[in-house]
Amino acid sequence: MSEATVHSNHVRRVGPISVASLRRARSEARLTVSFARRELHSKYRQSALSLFWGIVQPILLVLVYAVVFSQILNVNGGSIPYLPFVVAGIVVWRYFAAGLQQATSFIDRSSVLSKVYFRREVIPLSGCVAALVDLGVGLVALVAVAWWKGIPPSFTLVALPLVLSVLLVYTAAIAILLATITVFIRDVAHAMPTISQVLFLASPILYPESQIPSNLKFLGTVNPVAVVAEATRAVSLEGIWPNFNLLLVHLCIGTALLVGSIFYLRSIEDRIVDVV
Amino acid sequence: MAQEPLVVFDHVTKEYRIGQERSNARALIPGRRGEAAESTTFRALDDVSLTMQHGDTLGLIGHNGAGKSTLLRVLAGIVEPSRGHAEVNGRFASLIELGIGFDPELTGHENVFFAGDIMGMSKAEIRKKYDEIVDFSGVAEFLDMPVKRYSTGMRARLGFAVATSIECDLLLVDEVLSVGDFEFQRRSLERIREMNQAGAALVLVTHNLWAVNSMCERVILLDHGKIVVDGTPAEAMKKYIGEEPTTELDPEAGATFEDFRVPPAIAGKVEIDSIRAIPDVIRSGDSITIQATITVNEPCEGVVVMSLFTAERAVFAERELGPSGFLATPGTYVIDAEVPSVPMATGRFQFRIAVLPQDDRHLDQVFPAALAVASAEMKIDGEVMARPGLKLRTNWSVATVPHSH
Repeated sequence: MSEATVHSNHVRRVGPISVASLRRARSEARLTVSFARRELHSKYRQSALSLFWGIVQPILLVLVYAVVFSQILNVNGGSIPYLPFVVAGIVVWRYFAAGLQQATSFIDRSSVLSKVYFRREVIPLSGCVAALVDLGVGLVALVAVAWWKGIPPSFTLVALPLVLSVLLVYTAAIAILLATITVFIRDVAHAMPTISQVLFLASPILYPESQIPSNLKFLGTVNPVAVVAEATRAVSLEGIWPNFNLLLVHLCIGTALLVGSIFYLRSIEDRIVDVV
Repeated sequence: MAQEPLVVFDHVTKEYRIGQERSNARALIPGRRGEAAESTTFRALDDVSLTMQHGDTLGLIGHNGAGKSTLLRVLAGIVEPSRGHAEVNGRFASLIELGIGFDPELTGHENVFFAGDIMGMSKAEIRKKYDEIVDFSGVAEFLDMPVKRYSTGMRARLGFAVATSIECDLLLVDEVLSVGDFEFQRRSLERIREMNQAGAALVLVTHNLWAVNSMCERVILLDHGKIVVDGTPAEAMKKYIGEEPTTELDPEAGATFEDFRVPPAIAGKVEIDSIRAIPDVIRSGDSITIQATITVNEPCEGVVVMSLFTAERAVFAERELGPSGFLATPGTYVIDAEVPSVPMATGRFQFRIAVLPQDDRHLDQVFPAALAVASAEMKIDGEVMARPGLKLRTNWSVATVPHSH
């Protein structure tokens, strides 16, 4: 049985919780933010139109969805005007999709992975951290659009952090798992666009959960994206409290999945550099 | 109190699978190793055991694929051994590549912080060292420029400066010193030496035997992942290049600058009996003496000259004019040409001593006529920075060897 104990720089093995291990955790957190900032920096500096692509593109997308689904396909947001309804769904989905995009994050950063050791989960997590900016902008846009459509912010928004924490833990867990698996099974990268499309259409992003036929209703309960999208609409657009029990169950499952994915990654991380 | 060893390798083996497989899905199962029994494996490291203490200097040499870089990567915690146990009890600075983690889109300033972060420095530490880093890199005016517009040399200097700013117990250097110009190489070596003097141990991986010899007290020769020699630089190099640094005349011919020929008409008047470099192996800045034993059979008018070439026979330094008077008196003489401070950073050189006829009109021909010619080659692999026009500032001395009958 081999075991490398490199007590240095970014340390490999987890020991019992101590001052040193907390300091290490802090340093990894800092590195994650650092990677995220780098990603944002280079993303928004590379092209003069980056701001355009970052803001106008989602707006156009939302408008197209709004026209196609509400005008042509006659989908409605239940009691909610369709435009804010779809914005809420898209904002949630875009964050989750950013997690899916981390599937290739290890492969994309193979050069740095093969030259310096740091906790590997830093890479996919940094992608999720960077996507928080878009999420924040999207939520502001959601509130603005809702107001414009006659829905002022409601006090139920105080539950939003709980709703979002469910989204965050699931997305982070999925990002880590996908990034790890893709290193060893490259085909995942090719399958991702399709998987992403299926998930998007299977989740109540463009249509309300109420339109899901009753024999598929369970999808709205087990699918965290559905749960988060519905809860986001509840607190921001309907002014009602979300299903706290369901959210808490998902928060627990998501957190367990995140912790599990980190430990799983750590258990096989030394093999990544051999194949990446 | 006995200090804990800095590095302990206990029967470390690292295997890689040969050939590209369609999927490595098996490796996703925790607990089992990725290597399947039936697949062909390549042992990059084969049962390597070694211990290093704080402040040690270790050179790793060997042919390409001998496992030098893999060993370094195990030290840096990037690669985990397939079997065995590897331990580093300290903080290290990694010069496995210069500019690790540099993002071409970010400015030099941003990259200093980012690269420092990746290498495990705290923000406060980077801030504290920032001026020093900028100073060493010499790119102060370009810090707000994206690194993608930097020249290779600028990037290397900044990368080196960041990597060596970390306060460390162990410095890992992998063949990075071949980057950059002469001045950068000199300053880099100096910096590494300073860090070593301050207590950091050094592991140097290189093909440049000269650098190994000058920096390391201990050298490990690796071959096919195994330690072949673990000893002094001389022992390892002797095994590696098959012989000790030799001073024999290089028999290979080729028309290059200053390929003197000895015309039959004047052959035998003066003979160079032997020529050697003392010491065989030198450190940059050290002195070296080229000693030639010259027998004058017939009085003649001439002058001793010495030139320095690279292994590729490019002229490295201007021809040095030596003594001439002794050629008038038959006898055997020992000529010492002392170069007080050898100016080259790396490499394999050839000193050539020739006795040229004073009156020769053909010295600017392709093959100038000489009374005698001999060269001392130091067989040290590596690259060399050719800097034609360099003055060696040789001190010459002539001693008569009494006839002993």
